[in-house]
Amino acid sequence: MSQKSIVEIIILISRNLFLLLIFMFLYSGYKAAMYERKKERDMYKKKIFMQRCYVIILHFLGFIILIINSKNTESMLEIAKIGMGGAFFIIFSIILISIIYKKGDAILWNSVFFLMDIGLIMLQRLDPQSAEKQLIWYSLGVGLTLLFPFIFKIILNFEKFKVFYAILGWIFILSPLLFGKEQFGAKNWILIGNFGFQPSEIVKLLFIFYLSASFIKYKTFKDLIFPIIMSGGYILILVIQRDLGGALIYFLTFLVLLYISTSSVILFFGSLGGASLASMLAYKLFNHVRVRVEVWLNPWKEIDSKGYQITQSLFAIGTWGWLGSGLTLGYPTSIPVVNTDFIFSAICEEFGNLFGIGVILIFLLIVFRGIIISIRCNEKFYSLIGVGISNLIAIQTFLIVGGVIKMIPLTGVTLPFISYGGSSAIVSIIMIGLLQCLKSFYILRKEGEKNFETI
Amino acid sequence: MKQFRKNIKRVFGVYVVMFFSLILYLVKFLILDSSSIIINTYNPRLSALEENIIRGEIRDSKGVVLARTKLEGDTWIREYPEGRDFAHIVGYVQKGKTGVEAFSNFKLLEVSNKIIQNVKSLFTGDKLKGNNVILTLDADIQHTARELLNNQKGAIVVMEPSTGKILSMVSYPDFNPNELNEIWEQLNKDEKNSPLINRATQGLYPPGSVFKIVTASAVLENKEDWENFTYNCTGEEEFHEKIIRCYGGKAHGEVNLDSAFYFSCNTGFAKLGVDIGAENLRETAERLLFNRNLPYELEYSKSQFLLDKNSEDKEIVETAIGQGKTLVSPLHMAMITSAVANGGILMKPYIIDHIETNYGKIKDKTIPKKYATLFQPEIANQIVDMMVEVVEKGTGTKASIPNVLVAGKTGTAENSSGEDHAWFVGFAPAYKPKAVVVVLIENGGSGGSKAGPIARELFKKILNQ
Repeated sequence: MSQKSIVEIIILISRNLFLLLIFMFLYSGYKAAMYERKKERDMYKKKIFMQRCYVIILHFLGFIILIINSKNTESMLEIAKIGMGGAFFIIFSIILISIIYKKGDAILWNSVFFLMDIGLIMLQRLDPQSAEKQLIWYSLGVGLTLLFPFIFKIILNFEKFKVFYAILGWIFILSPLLFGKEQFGAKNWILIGNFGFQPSEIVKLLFIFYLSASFIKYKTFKDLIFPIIMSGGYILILVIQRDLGGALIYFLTFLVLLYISTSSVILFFGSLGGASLASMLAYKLFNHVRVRVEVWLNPWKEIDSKGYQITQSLFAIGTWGWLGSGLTLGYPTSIPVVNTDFIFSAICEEFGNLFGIGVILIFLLIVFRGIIISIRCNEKFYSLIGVGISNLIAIQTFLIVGGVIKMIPLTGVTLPFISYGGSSAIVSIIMIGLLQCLKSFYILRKEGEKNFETI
Repeated sequence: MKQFRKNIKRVFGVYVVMFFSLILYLVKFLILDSSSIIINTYNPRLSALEENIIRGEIRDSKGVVLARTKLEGDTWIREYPEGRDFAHIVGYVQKGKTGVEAFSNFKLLEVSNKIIQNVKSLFTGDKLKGNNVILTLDADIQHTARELLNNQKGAIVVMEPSTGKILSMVSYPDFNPNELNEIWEQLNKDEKNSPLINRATQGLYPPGSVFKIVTASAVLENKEDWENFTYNCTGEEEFHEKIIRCYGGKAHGEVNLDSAFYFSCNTGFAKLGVDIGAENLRETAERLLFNRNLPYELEYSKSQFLLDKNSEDKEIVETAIGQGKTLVSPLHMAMITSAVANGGILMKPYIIDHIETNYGKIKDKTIPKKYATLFQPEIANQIVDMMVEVVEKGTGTKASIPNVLVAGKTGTAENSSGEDHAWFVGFAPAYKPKAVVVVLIENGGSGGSKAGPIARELFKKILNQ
């Protein structure tokens, strides 16, 4: 009884520490951005260092709690193993990154590591096996991004490979239809041996590259016809594969890049109108679309079947209030597929809803840094790539967080950096790597250091 | 390039709006919606909490314990010290949850000062304790009401019209919640008495003459020359092939709206019903929450009013005097009467007064809230005047008490189950009402002589306090 009480007291107090950590992290990020603007290099570096400390404290605090709450020595050792592995991963990655991405955006990197660490702690708590795998995906993702600077040194003109992006994109997106596997009502997976893989995650990037390469050539409406057909094709395929979230992400990416390159309000609202018509048509034609909307409007009616998932999510978020139950003291595993689509609900349940708001703000910080990079970029193609990537992160976060809190109908997309899953984790990190390359290499190469305010 | 950058900034503006709408929605969900959804039985957190936490106490407004959890041997059991008198309203936890036990389930299991309680339990080894729920009910009035019901099937509701506080709610046949496990099967088999039903909120009965409050309101609203209305009552008359009789076949002679009300003259009201028509009556009834959800958070049944413009003519006549297909719960009648007493305004009825934490801190205090204006103030006042006359010189004289003006309306409702149901609805003091009382005795006979005296004793009890 009394040992249990001590553990409970520690966990309850830790809620406040976690909350303090995330808001100190955000505050340091904000301050660092300010100092960067004012070119106060030392203060900037100090804040960046503080942020890294917060990530590491978060990591150890999280794993210590999981360890003291473990049932037996065996599982304690397992948790400690992942905890040490994770610590090693974070520290080693940060060191390597600051060597290889010398001119990278440190606030952006830190934010991503903070989120990945939340993901790792949460997965360890929900499903230890997935945490171990996720750590491998994270390492693979970071490992891949460490190669980018060299690739960017070799290949100078990414805008020239438009046709290649298009063809490769189609090959990937059609592959699940030929040898795919259905999961959670969406047929958008392929299996290579034991290794499940979601091609639409990779195609997202190819799609951005393709659109950016097409839109920089924009002069008249004629130049848009082919990209429109391409985009429509992708979206149609995704709807057929029942990946509604994917379809929405592709469409909004198309819309944003179109608007930025053409500045045309008519085209913007024209596409939006077209999409509204298309979604009404989809609502009429496809039963799975109707079901999603009905469950969103009234999940309580079918609480034991179709509405089960979303209502369980609402219980998780709503039961414990602002500070949450405390790590390990909630019941997030009552939500089906909690470690992928619904991981945000689990975070809100155990770390508290204020912490959840902090997570949303970190995503906003990431999007903000991505947009800053895009604005400072002097060539349209790379600028569009930057916006496209920031857009993907923004839209995906909005769709899944909005979905699990029942603000909008649920579309099964992953929460970048946090949700369990190889394709999602690796592609999310690759996207950040690309953003960093835009900042640290492309600009330096083309413009020389003197034209760019960077530290 | 300049325009290009401007576009990017605009798009970022959209992202900022999207992200902040997420945060706002989450905050709104937590503040406004979450407390009512998490008590759902599909939420596995509550039953998990139950194993580790001592459920809080339920108490009446003066501190009388109505439900508590105590250790018996080495098992924790829920005990109801006031027994069967509170069985329906407080509810039980042994066989599913009902009443306040169900509605306040989360509050009773919610632990305040969790860290302090944990530190304390380090030394004492005690389990954590949930919050206590303090009700608006008054155990004195509740026991009196239960005694007055005197083992007759029926229900009593007592409400404070100026706030909406429910002071008492009794239903009989009842059961002893402390013996629930032993008598459960027997209670469920007893279809004749249905003791598990809370008749005050879930029982639906023909209103009989208490419905004349509704009809009179419709007349005052729609019949401009109501002051000139006269009718010669012979004790019986045929309207649209439907013979209407006054109670006991009594001829009231020439009546106007006033005297038809206090004598409860059926033929007079039948005529008034024909005059104003089905649609006007339906409009008033629906404004008074017939066919609607009631502002009440525990289990209840919706009242029923079926008359509409397609109904047969004879149905208007029956409905106007509270017969026909209309059905109402005692709680709903208490709401209507309460609005009359309170100048037409219905305060939202409530039963949870506040939550008290383990350390005596009060939180979530319910603030009385206006629900709706059911009657225009002038019309409410006219109905009060007529209801005073009912007790002074009409059918409700048995509810009168010395030195205090009582307002009331009796009802004697014909029904298919045998003897008439006896109704009394009223409040006292008439022009400064402290309490609304609704009494229903199933198959009790005449409202005036059966339900009226019970109301009188309750008024006495409440006003002397």
